[in-house]
Amino acid sequence: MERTTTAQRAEIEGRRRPLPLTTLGLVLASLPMLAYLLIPLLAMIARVDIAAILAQFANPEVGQAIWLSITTTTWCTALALGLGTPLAFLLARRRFRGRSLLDTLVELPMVLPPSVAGIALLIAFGRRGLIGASLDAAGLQIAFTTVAVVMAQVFVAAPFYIKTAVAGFAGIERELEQAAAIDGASPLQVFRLITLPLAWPVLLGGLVMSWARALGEFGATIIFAGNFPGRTQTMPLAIYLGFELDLDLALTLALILLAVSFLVLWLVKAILRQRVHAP
Amino acid sequence: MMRRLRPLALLSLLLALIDLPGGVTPPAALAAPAAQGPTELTVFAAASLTDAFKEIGRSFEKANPGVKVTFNFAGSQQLAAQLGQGAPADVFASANATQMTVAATANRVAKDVAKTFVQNRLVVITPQDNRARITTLQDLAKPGLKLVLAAKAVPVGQYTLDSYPIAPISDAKQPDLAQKFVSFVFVGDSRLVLAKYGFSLP
Repeated sequence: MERTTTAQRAEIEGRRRPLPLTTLGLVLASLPMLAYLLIPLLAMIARVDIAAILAQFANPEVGQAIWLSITTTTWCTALALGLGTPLAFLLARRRFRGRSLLDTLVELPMVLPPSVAGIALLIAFGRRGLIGASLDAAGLQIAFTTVAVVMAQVFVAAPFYIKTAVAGFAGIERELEQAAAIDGASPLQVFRLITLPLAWPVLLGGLVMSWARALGEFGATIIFAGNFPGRTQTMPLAIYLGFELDLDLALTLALILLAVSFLVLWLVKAILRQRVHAP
Repeated sequence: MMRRLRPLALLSLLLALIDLPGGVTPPAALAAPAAQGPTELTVFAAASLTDAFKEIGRSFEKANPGVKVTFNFAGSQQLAAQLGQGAPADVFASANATQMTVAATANRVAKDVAKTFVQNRLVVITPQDNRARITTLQDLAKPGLKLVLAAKAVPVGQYTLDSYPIAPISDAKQPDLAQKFVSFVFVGDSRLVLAKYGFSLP
């Protein structure tokens, strides 16, 4: 089995030796999309001057917003992983009545306009909400707190992870899990030692996607958590207020957000690359 | 195997280091903050008031030591929706009368208590070279003109010279301070600040 795959890979790699002409064609075909994605970003960079960016870093409200964005999205990612993985595994591995209905329901938050998601969260968990009213009676208020920011992010971003994780779990060769089970591994051991490590690259990709979505989250947050500096004002909300003050301030803040995201994405990819090259 | 799971360990380590600032706040902490730290006055204000109200808030804090004004700036519609769902607030400053009515209907603002403190000024902006030669309001009716109007739902989109009403929230945690802030917006210095940011005074 191992030998065939190695042989096949060698054959494919031999065939895949880049032909200059096809490579040129591929590059030309890729250019329009690449240019379209990069030109608006370049336009922003060209308009904002670096000194203004550095000056904004000294602004305590901007620092607060960056820190809040980093902490809340980290929590969001952890919750998506911890609570989304069992659901994704269930959807990928079990056949039951209503499975496809459930699968579609999980996708709904992705198509919902975020501001509608914010209202939905508010009428569920707000002080006068479906569940929020009893929580309030118990002395617990969720809306307009940092916890509400994380909840808004999880609501709109977790489905991105779950959908990817379902595909990841479904793509694993069942024979490997069955072999481990035959060798006496308990279901939990099989999951921890076989399934999770094999699915991990895909899961990590899904996590990054859902983290990115959470980082840009605006609509649900401003309604469910409000726009309180230091408590619920994440970078996208600070950028929104920047537009009220002046366009260049908003662009500067947006560029800071882009730079932070770029660094994080780059770092995650570097870790992944290292993992792949490790023996 | 440890190596494979390292990102997971990294994430949990990160979480252990991070503590959410101001997580779920029990109301008791909000009810009696005077013991230590400043008294918090929560003002819900239309996003267009951001720079003016930030400045007014700073002067209000200076005039009332021990008070911290916390703003929630967003669209008036969003603020009214939040108030309707019981959002804790002390003062509401809306960019139009409609959303103040929404808050009143939700019993968060006493009827007829809201007072107009500024009005929007409608302006016509032409390109610098003004090739269509727009000089009077009537010129806007010229055929072939590209005229961009504000959306109908946005306060400015409703043609009338819309007013900005402000009112204390009826179940405010700091009712006296809320009333004080509302009055503060009407004093001379605050008027100057509002005028500076382009609002017209009624």
